[in-house]
Amino acid sequence: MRSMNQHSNHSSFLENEHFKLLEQALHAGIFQISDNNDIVHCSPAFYQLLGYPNKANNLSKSFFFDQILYPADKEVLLEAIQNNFQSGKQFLLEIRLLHKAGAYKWFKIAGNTNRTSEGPAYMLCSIMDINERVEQKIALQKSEYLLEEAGKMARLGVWELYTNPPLLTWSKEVCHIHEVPEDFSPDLNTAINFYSPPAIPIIQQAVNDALNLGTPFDLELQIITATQKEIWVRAIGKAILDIKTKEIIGVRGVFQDINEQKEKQVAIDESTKIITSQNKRLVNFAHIVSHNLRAHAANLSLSIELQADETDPAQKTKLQENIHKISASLNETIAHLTDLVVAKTETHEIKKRVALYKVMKHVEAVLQAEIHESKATLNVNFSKCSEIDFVPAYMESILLNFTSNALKYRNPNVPLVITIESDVEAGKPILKVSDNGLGIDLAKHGEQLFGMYKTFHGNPTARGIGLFMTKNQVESLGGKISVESEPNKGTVFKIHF
Amino acid sequence: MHNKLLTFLIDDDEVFVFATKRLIQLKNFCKDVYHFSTVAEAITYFINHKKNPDLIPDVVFIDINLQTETGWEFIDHYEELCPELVKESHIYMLSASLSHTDLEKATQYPSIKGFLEKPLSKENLAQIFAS
Repeated sequence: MRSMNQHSNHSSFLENEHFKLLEQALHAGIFQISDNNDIVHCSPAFYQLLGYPNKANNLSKSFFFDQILYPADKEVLLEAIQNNFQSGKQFLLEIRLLHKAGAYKWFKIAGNTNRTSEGPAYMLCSIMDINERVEQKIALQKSEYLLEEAGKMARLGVWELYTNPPLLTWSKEVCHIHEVPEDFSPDLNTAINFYSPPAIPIIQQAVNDALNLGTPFDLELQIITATQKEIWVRAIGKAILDIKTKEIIGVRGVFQDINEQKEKQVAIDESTKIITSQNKRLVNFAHIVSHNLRAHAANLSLSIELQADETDPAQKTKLQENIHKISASLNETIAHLTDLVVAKTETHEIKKRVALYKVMKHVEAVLQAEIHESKATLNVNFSKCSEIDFVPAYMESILLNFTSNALKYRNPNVPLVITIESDVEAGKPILKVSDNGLGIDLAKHGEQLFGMYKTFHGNPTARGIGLFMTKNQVESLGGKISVESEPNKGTVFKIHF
Repeated sequence: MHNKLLTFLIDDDEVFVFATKRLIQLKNFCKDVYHFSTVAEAITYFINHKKNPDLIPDVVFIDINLQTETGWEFIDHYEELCPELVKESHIYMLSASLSHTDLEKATQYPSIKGFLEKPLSKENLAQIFAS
């Protein structure tokens, strides 16, 4: 380093014409520093890059390192220069320098020491403006970050498929959705085989059409993830065209986990269905209420009108009896209405673990007379599920209604057999009440089956209120009732809890 | 006023039938009132007596809501049978509560002369039997 002094006059080569041409062609600035000299020799292009078109020549080392160089980059650059002087190791760094406009700009800086036989002489450095590229890179990183975060949040990723050579790439989020490691790289077949069996031909066709005809697709399908979860996804795809030839060279698209939305949608559809049917029954209910009350009122006014004209004492007595009947009917109708209003508002009833055998025992006791009279055989089997979480009072009314229904509508020519059993379907308990009685023509009466005051067999004890109540109780707790029946063969009611 | 001889009441509401029948008798609107509580009984009667003008009713009152069937079922059978009947009856539909859909439906049956809300008052009956 001692010898560097002798060579300080070498700075004059910066004035060399060849050098200037080269510098302009590369769009680079050059400066020269020595170890024991405070002067930094700078080329005109160096100044131009920093925004000083006419400034020339030299500045002090301290000015360069403390004023122009971005403070945080100083240590790294000094260390690199030191290393180079000592060991000749070249460096290439990205640093920020203060531009005349007042802001720091990004430059690539490279440097190397000129060595003589006596050791290092001086160091030449070049700077190149890379500001635009670095800023683009930073912006790109930022948007990649945002995209990835947004993707994570929306459970949405991207994929790309090229045909020649075959190459399928999944973004991290696509991997997450499939529950495979982030470096998972499937081929097309592997990817398609993640779909559920019924979805495979659909996605296969869609990808083929996109590749062969350029038809875009937007599908909602189910996949089975690596951990065997069945989830709904939305797969969107569009052909990729070669920039020059405009031929289809692949497909790219978006892949999103929409399971939560889909499940919510299904739940909403289901409850809309229940609300619609309950609403329908409420309208029916309002109609029946008005009809029955009007019928009794009409009879009352008719009987009273007649009473004024009636002269025959025997007829008068009969009329009096009728007025009593009307009053009793009115009371009965009002009692039914009260029951229904109570059933409609008491959905906040607390569910408890209900022991089915115990409830059934009670029901059999209540219906003892009817069971005895009809000589019915009751097969009760709750071995598959002996307890259900439900409102105890409702459970009793359900079993009572379906059993008494079966007793009421028995076929007089066939010994009655009623089977009452529990089971588990799709993880949820069900009750099944089957009989070999009269059955119902569902095509004719199916819609009205659970309506209030609908009876179908002209049975004198039929009140037409049981099934209506039962359906309300089950549905108010989120369950449902289904029915299968054939005239003269029997009926099967299934209660899903 | 006594040009009407025979009236049918097809209804399963005993209280209504009793009072209406008695009212018609007391006011002498009509010579005879027959009562049926099901559609099947009434139709069987029509089939059995279709050629006898004295036994085919002049006026028929039928309730729209019967326990196991509807008044419409009677109308369907009656209109099918009509060409074979020796004379035409005046048919009135009855209901305790008139619904718009029922009124609309009634206009599609040529045999229905009117749709009446229960109860039938003396004035109603007087008008019907005078026409």
